[in-house]
Amino acid sequence: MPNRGPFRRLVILGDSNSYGMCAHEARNEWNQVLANWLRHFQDEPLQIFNRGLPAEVISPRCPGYADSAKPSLLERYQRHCIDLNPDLVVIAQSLNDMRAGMPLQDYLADLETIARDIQAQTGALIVLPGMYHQIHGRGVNDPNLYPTWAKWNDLESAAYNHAIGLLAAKLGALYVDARAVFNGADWVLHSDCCHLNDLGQVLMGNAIFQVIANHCAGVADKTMRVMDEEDVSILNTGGTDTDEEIRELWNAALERFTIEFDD
Amino acid sequence: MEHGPFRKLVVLGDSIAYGMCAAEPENEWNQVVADLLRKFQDEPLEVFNRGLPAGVISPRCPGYGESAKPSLLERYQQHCIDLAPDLVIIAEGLNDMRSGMPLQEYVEDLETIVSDIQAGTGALVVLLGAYHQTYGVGANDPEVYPTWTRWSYDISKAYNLAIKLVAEKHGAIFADAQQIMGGADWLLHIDAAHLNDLGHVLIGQGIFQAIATRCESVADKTFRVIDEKDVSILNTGGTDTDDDIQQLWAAALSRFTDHIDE
Repeated sequence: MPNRGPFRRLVILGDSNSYGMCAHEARNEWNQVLANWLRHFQDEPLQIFNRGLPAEVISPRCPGYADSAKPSLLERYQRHCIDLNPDLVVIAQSLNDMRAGMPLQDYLADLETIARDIQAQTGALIVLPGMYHQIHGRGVNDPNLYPTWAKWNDLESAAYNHAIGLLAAKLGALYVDARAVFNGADWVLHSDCCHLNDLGQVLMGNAIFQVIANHCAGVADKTMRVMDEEDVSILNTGGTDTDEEIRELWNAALERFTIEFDD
Repeated sequence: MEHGPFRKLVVLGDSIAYGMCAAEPENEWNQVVADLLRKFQDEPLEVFNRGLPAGVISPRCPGYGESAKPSLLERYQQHCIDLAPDLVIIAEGLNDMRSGMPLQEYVEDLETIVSDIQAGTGALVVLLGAYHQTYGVGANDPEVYPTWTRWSYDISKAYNLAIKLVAEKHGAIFADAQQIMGGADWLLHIDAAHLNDLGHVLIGQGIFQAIATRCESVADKTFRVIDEKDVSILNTGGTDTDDDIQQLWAAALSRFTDHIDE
């Protein structure tokens, strides 16, 4: 693991999904959810640079490049990531590439180039969220309205998700299995059938935080410090929304569970 | 799954369910779950924390003699069914496993409790698996607590899997505690058994995720707001972005609004 945290500079790269699109409340954008949990737990401030670009693709060889927002990620990651000197980078880049029918091999080669270069030049921990499910045929996935962006099916989506996981393992990056996070629930999507709604954004932010937190011990620094400073133990914690009866039952058994404190 | 929005949540189990070793009450996992549900559903939610520290599942558990009584089997009528919940989370297994209860007996008792609660309340039941702990130190030191150290890492995994199978058999939801924690020791309190604040929050998030992706009603408020506020790509996103990105997106925007213009 190249970086255990705590983290001070977080760069978010990718497309509209990274940008936070379709979260009504700004605090629900998944990048904000992630940043706020990290701030809550680590003992250092965290600055976030949201460099998600809506309608963007990974590189000029993506079939959707002509219709996309430019520059592509391959053309801009130096300026929008490396030059910012991050120690944590989340790259959520694949939706538009897959939707435009980009061959998976081409996509993976470009993503590997970007991730390796960022690792080499910044030493940052890289997190790669996979591809979550969408609904084909409606909203922004309606082939009659957006023929450029409807060249996909659910199987290809699953393949992209799995391939991103394999690449993360190869690079020593962290992977977030987006399909597993959502379990196929259509109600985490906005009515455009593609973007995450507020609930989906929060679930995604929580999941990315979970993967970082259970791989990076630095995220627990504040927790460990408070535990020491305040003598946090079974004697002074728990019981919110319990009742008197439970407290009395616990008190009756307590002395059998405090040997380590008596020593 | 036709459950929710939820109005009465009962949390059953042992010290983990009670919220033990979370320094901040808001980080107790039952509070994390409740706060997330309140944030997203369109109904208020009341929490009844009926976790009993040092509790075990039934009198036949080998740790029963030293446990806090009554056991869950002896108290779930009073501490759960009588409260008429519509959501029940059961985090019971750690002390049973730690005291060497045969897995088959644990599963039988858990099945009895789950099926009775479902029949008596119609509530959605969520079962939290057994998370990893550290053997040999703190509350898992066999020199200090011989009753509670009759377990191994393999047995812990077997308990977690068995709880999953019980959930599947009974149409309950399973939260995979071992997967959520990822084997990270820094999510544990220094007693090597309980969750610390970070561990509590991760478990709370994991339980919420399991509920939210199976119960559509959790998204009720989200969909109401999307309709009421015309939430779309035109008016969302971009917190902590910069002018460069905003201008690049604005230059491409007109090619992505056909579904809104319709």
